[in-house]
Amino acid sequence: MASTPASTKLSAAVAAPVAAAPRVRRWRTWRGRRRLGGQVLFYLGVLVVLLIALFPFYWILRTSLESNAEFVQGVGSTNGLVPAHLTLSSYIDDFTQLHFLTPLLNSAIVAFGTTVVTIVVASLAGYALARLPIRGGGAILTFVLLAGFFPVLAMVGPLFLLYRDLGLLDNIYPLIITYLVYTLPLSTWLLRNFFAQIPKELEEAALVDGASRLQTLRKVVIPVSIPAVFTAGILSFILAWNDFAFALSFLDSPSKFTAPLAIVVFGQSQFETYFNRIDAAVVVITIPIAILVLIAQRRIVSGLTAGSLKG
Amino acid sequence: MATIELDHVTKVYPNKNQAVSELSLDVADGEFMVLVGPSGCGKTTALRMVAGLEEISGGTVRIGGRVVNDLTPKERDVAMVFQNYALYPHMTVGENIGFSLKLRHLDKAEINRRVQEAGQTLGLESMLNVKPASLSGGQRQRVAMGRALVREPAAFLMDEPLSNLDAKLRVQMRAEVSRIQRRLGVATLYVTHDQTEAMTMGDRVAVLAHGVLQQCEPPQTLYDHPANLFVAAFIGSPAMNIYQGEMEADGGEMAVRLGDHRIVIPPSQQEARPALGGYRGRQLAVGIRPEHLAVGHELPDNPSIIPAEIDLLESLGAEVIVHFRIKADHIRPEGAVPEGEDQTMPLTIGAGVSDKTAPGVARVDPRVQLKVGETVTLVPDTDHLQFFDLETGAAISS
Repeated sequence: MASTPASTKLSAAVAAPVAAAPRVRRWRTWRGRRRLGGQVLFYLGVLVVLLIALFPFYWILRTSLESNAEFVQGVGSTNGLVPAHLTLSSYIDDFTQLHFLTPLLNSAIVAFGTTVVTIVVASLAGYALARLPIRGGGAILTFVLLAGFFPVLAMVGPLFLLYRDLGLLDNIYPLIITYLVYTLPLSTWLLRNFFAQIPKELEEAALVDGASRLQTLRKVVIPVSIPAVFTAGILSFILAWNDFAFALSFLDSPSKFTAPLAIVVFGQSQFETYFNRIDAAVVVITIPIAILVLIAQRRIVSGLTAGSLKG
Repeated sequence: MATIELDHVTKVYPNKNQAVSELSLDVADGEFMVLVGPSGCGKTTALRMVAGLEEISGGTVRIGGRVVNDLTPKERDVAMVFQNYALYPHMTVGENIGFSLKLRHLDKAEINRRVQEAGQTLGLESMLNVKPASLSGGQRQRVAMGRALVREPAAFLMDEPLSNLDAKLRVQMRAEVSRIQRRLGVATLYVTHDQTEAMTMGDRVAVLAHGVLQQCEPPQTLYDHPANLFVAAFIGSPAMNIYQGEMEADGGEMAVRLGDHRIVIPPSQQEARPALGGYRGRQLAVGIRPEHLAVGHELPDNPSIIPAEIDLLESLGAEVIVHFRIKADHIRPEGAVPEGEDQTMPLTIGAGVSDKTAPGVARVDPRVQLKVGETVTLVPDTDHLQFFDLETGAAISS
């Protein structure tokens, strides 16, 4: 017992130089210097990539905060990386004069609608493909994946004719069906692959515990697959939210426009192009996506770590 | 509370692979029935057919007297513990245990009460609010048990629930599972490949090989009176020594020849197995358990001694396992001893060993001084010899 304090003191004395050694050595030795140099280069590289990636975003944000008069003058000595006068006038114009709220709502309806239908249908289809002994399941899966890569513009023409005959043009709800053409294959494929990895015993345990097949899917399989469900949801949402080609082709009245379509119209004056208003609208439509990705990121990480179950 | 009855249950997979053949088994109310056999013998398939996770190709399964062949797992009212626990990773321990009750729309207070009770039984009270990911293997195993026992089901089904635990924990949980089962008094079908589990836990043990039931008896009966060569070789660790022998044709004294050695069969055996007389002049299989072989140096006054060479000594403290070789023909029923658990040594050990030697095992008192490589004498306790027909493998018991 008496020797305990002495031995801890000794171990502390031994431990201290060992811990300090690498820090001292880093710039004194060749190897340490080379490693330090490598790290500096690495972070410089990261910085360059970040600048290239973020600069367009920054420039959009910067332009959106400029007054129209200053924008017309262009970038000058007083008006550089940061505008001379920051103003929210283009945002106010967007929502007051140009009624940007309506296209935003239209986009939200279409994007949420697409996401919800995609998740429901793709989980059911993905689960069936993952678990049922379907003849030619592999072929179905390959076809599903191929369908997801069908060129968008090749689809516009036929669908336009179809919607015209069915009287579905100039209506935002048929857009949801259109987007499903692209979101369903990808999501079905993604979810099927995730479901196939879930141990079968987990579902069997739920069945024995008294769950129906559908309850098993809803209460066990999907909660366990949250990372995949969120990924599929985000991809679907972004695809619908960002679409321009289908909206441009199928919508006619400004009151039916989705946000990307409306933004194009903002700039169309007979004499001027209001880039600051366009950029303000772009900032606005980027925010939901950014928030969504940030929320989902946390969910995806926590979902993955909670997955382990075998001892 | 109910019984489980399997009546000529058969499972044939679409690829014509017959996993279970005409299995008939009755588990009485409150009975702990262990289904044991080597891997791939169909024991898990049989269990899954009772649970409703596998279609039944033929025969009937009754739980509590009710035919359940076409019922979903939900309608069968059985609880199952899986080998890898299959805990729901997104739910807390409490939610895992209470899931089945929630599915049955019991009210919250009742669910809570029963979850707490199950938690107390299994020593999980302090962990009810954590996720399974942060639990140790033993704790997860308890949660899996809790999920089963909270239901108060008609029957328990357990599929190798202890095989993922480390050795020490397995011994501990073995006792605990038995204790809980006895307290609840629910008919239990327990699948394992570990014959120690089978012997220590089961009220009765059913031995399965290639989808066919070999024998179903209380553990001691199984050990003392195996019905055939497979059961004889499978039950017991170290395994029974089985050699090919020939009954001597003539003379009043009945004796069996193992290679060069002659073993006299005592009158007690002849009385117990009158059919042995019919094997005079014929080949048969002779078995003797490791504890029924005395190992020594001197030549005792006994007509049935066998010289043997010691291959390996394994000291377990309370006893020593002696691996030896004798001049005889060895019999080892296919699949009876799992790979890696074979107690016998490869034939290459020791120079000058003829190809007619057979391995064997004896368990002796550690006070007997033995050395590897020396030649000793084995004295079989002939009252405990077992005899089997070579063609059918069946025990010669009458």
